[in-house]
Amino acid sequence: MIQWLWYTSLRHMKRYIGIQYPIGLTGALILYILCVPAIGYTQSNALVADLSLSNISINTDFNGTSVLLFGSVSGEAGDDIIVVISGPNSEIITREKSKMTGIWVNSNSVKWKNAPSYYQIFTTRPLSQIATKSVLEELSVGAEFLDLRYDSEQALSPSSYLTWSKALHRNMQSASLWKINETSVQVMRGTLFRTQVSLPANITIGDYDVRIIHFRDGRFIAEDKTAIAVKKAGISAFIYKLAHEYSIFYGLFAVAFAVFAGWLAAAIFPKP
Amino acid sequence: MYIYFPIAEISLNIFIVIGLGGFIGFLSGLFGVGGGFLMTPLLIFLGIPAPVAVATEANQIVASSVSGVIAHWRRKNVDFKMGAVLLFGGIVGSSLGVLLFALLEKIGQLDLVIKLSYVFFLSAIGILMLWESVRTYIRTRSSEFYRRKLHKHNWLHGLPFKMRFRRSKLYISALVPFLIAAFVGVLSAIMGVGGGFIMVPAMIYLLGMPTSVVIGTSLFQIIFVTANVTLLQSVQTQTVDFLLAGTLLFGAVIGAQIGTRFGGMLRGEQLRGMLALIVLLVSIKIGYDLIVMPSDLFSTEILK
Repeated sequence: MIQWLWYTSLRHMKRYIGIQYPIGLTGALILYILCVPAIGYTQSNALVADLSLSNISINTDFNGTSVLLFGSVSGEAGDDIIVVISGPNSEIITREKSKMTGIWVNSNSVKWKNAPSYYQIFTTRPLSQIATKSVLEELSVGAEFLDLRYDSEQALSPSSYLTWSKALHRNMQSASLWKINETSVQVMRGTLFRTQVSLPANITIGDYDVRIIHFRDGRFIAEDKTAIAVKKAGISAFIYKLAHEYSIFYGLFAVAFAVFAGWLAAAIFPKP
Repeated sequence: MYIYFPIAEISLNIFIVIGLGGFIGFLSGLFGVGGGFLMTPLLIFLGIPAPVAVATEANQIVASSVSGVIAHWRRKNVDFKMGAVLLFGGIVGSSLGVLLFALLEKIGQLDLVIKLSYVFFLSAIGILMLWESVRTYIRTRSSEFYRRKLHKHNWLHGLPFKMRFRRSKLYISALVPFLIAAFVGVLSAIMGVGGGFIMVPAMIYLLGMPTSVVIGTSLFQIIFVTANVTLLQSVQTQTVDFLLAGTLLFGAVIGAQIGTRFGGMLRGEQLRGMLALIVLLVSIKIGYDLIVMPSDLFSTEILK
């Protein structure tokens, strides 16, 4: 297991170098050879991570899923890992209810233009113990540091912006879409880490960015990135696609299906 | 066993969905009603988005009306001429209703309008039915008997565009059934119902149609109105989940068979009284949710 992880980690490292310096295969090889004496140093900063599943299919049997994120870090005992998973940015609307003639009616609303539909953080220890707020803000770790753009009838004052963004946080948290999972990352022997990422049944389709950040004594050490793709698949994808791209045929089909089913029911069970 | 419904975008236990279909099917077999006005609120209580519940229920009602109309057709209890006038009005009304539906969704008041319509119509129908069944019960007790006139003549009979409806033994203005059907069509699109619970009393009391042809004719026109709603909602809002409709239907077909057999054992006014109580309970639940202060005044929805 460990050997295999190291093997994958090296493979990832090569890929990482290859992407960062597009200098061709020979160049990369020369660079790699030149780097060999310094490998001891590079390894102290090496951080690689991968997922047990990077393509998630939403078929008709989908009821949320869980993905294992694992990796290795050349760290010391007491180092911290933070994983930030941010789902596809969507248009999200937050509405406020107020009482009108005795009933609660949606009155004001704010439309968020670029809020992530999923935002979860996984950490080794409580966030406040890993790094200071300003360090986290600089790395944009935390839903409160998201740069949210919005559409509203009028510009919001700083205090009402705060009310609205807090409401967004609260609602997304109660839907289990935004969440901080403290102490959910386990580090073994100071080098191997793992965490279970749960994706609820109501997730939005699209690409999810995964950031893995290595901290030591409150300082940033290294970061790795990967991604999860969530797609509708099978019958579920077929129905969804039909409904959205060929909606007239879908509607005709739905009606024809209902007429047939109704006739079939009457034929099987004749009325007494 | 969970099943993911691709348009509702929600994962539900399949046995709960079939069970819900079966329960409503049982009630509709027992009481001889369509059941849409109970199914749609219950789907919303299950967590299905209101627009999807309404549009999907329209799709399911197409099927239940087809299977219902076949029996009435065989007994020649369908007035096709009256049905044609009604379905013309119903298509105009339901098309307007779908437009209104999209407009309300855009301004964020769709849920409210759906729920208010339910509270209003369910409580009105519930109270009327309860009153009617209590009265019948008292009357049969005192064994008083009198013969009703075929129908009363009122100002509605003085309107233009008079038409003869042989099967219904009526000579009335076509405007009246047209307007009634148009009004019910709007409600049908917004509430996700067939509208039989309004159409049937309207046909009996406003049009004066003989009771024998009322249900068959109402079912006949509901097929077309709900088919129109299904088609228009598919194109405009893409909220028809036919997998959900099919699963509900499966339960409803079986439930209706059991319900019909039970229905024979109970007296008419007892059935109506029980249905009235169920209808009132649902309307009280929806109304209570509108009046009581929500635990969080803010709500958030992910748009596509």
